[in-house]
Amino acid sequence: MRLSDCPIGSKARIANLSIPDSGHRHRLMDLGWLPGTEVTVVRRAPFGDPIIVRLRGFQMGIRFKDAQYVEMDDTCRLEAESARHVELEPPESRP
Amino acid sequence: MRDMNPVKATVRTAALAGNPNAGKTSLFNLLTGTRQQVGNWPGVTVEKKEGWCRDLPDCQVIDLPGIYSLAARSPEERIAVTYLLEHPPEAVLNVVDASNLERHLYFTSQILEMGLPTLVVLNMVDVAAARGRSIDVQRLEECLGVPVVPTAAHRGEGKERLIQQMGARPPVPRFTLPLPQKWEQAVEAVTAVLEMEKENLPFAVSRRWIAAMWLEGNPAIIDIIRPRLSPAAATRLDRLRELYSEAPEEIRRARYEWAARTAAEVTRAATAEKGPRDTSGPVHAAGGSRARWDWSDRLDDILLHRYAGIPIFLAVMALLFEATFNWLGTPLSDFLDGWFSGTLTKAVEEILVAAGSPPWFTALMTEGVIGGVGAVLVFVPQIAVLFFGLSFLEDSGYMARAAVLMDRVMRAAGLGGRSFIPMVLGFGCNVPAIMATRTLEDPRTRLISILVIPFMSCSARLSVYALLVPAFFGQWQGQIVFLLYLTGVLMGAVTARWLGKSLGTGESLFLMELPPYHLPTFKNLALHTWDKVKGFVRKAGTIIFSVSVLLWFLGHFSWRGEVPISESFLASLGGWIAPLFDPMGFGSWQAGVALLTGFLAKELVVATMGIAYGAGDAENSLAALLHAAFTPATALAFLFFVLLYTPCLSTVAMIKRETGSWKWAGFSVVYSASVAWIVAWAVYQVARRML
Repeated sequence: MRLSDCPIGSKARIANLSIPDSGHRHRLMDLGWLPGTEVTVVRRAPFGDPIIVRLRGFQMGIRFKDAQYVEMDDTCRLEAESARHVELEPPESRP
Repeated sequence: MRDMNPVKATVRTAALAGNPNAGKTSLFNLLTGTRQQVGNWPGVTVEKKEGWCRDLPDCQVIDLPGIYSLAARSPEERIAVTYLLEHPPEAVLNVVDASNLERHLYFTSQILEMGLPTLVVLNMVDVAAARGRSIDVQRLEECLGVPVVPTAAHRGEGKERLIQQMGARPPVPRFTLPLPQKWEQAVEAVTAVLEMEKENLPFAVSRRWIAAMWLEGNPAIIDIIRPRLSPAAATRLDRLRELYSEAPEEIRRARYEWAARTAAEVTRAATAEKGPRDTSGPVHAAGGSRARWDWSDRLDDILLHRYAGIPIFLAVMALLFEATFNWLGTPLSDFLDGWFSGTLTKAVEEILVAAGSPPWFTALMTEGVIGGVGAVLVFVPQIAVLFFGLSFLEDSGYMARAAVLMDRVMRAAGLGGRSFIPMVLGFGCNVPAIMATRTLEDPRTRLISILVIPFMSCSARLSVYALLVPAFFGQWQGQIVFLLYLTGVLMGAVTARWLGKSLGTGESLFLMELPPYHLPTFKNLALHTWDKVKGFVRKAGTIIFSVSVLLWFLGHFSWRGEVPISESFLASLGGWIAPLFDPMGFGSWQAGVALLTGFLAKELVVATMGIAYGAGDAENSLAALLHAAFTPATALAFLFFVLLYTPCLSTVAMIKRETGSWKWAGFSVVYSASVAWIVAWAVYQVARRML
């Protein structure tokens, strides 16, 4: 499950950062993106991109393209499924 | 406030360092008030904000760029790191956001390891308290090993203690980041090599810090340190970095672990003792994220709305320009204009005549100086309103949202949301806008942004629109000005796309922090606006004053002595360039000379027209004189030409400085002049058939 696939309102921990450019990986880490960090998807900007997330108590925008390299643990898949049943969040347009 | 004992100054330079949005600027304003100036960073000719501390004699405060990490990748981060390394201040004031402690402590761990005398300023304690969190300052001091001063800089709280602590020289921290054994060994191995090379490394910072930065892969540090090492040591250090290739990740992880642990320790302890002062009821400091959905999030629900977000943003920009032109700026400008050309001119004339001044001097003063400088100074209200609005958007946190909103749109032009903020600042003045591109990491994206910014219509060009548009397009004023701005933006987009295609842009990472909204204080906005207006007024008093005097003489003399203006030097100078503008219908010497001086500073276009058309008294207002010289079609072509043509001299110098080459500055001059000519010609061809 990648961060770019996590629905709005879901919460999961980062499993791995597979972003190829090491400089970009280091920048993400400087801003607190580390394996094990809990990330909540807060909302999406118009056109569904960038994605706005909350981690370590602050909010940040990240592009869909970069979020594809952020691998999450399975919690957000579970939340995605339960959200589909309960309709807690407004329906999401698939990018 | 002032009644405390004067503190003996022991600190002469104090640098403010911290993450963006930590409230550094508020603190800087609190410490220095209006005693601020813009200097240059040593070595590089780059703007540096510095000021004199009001309460400590001879203490200079330096505002470093706000950065997230000392692992420098963007030019701004390099400036900060290089400064701390090569010109260490006597005290580092590390500004930390109490409401966002964990991430800010990450940076603190880097600063403390440097081993420079440090003071931690725990700012925004009021915001943290409002969120039900208070911080155990004493415990934090124990963890960090340096004094911690709680402040709420935007409210002016905590200043006395800060001054006291600055007066007593801050201690050198003895901080060691706890690392797992393997990485501790790696850092020690690198430190040992650096130890042997210490003659080559005359830096005040700790070698352990350099070692950690080396292993973390800090490009700025590697660039500075490596050339100084003996070849053998350089090889050994490179090999160590290869050997410990996981170090960049692992050291960062250890830093965040320490930061998270420390933040939890000092926050939890305080919550247990006092409990939150929150009005919203139950304790939820550590609890679910839903409970922290505060008013800032609710505001984002609207401002970042999927459909409404972009229209709202456009409406905000429209509102800002409406306020600048119609509601506030223009009425005030008109009032000033009336005062300059009426009351002031008459008063100066009477005083001079009474003092027995020769007629030529009276004319120089009223037509040359008041006509030229006054024509420019009347735009102070508009510029102040525009800058006040832009500062409000920036300080409140909305500008970061705008960058996120516009990211997709900017990418269509081959740039990104990060380039957006410098572009918007370009509407104020291109020079600081070009400097603001230093936050961009990718060098080619930065280059393209720099070259595109001159198409953002700056406030100096506004003076030309404010003169010509009301004179010729009475009922369509707003629309014409909007069309001009829009054309500038479109030309910028086209240029960015074209340059992006031919130069290629690097893959850039877009990460934009969205700080909670907050209401900027009037004081901070006023100081920022004053800073900009001061620059504008200074320009009016220096370059515009001298050029106005020079122009007046050029306008009254030729080789044959005193002559009517149409036979003067000025007329021949303008006449020499005027044929270039014949195809656009404004090939008069007056327009030609105005455009020539406009290259020095765009405000001079208006000042020159004032002199060349012989304005300067109430009956012959410039607007009336212009009606004789321009038709609506030629006026429109002239406006488009002024919008797009060659950036002013300061901007060209800034392009050279920031791109590091005359080649790009030259490109900008030639390219924009050609674009302006073509567009103005096209506008004239269309307009003369329609208007």
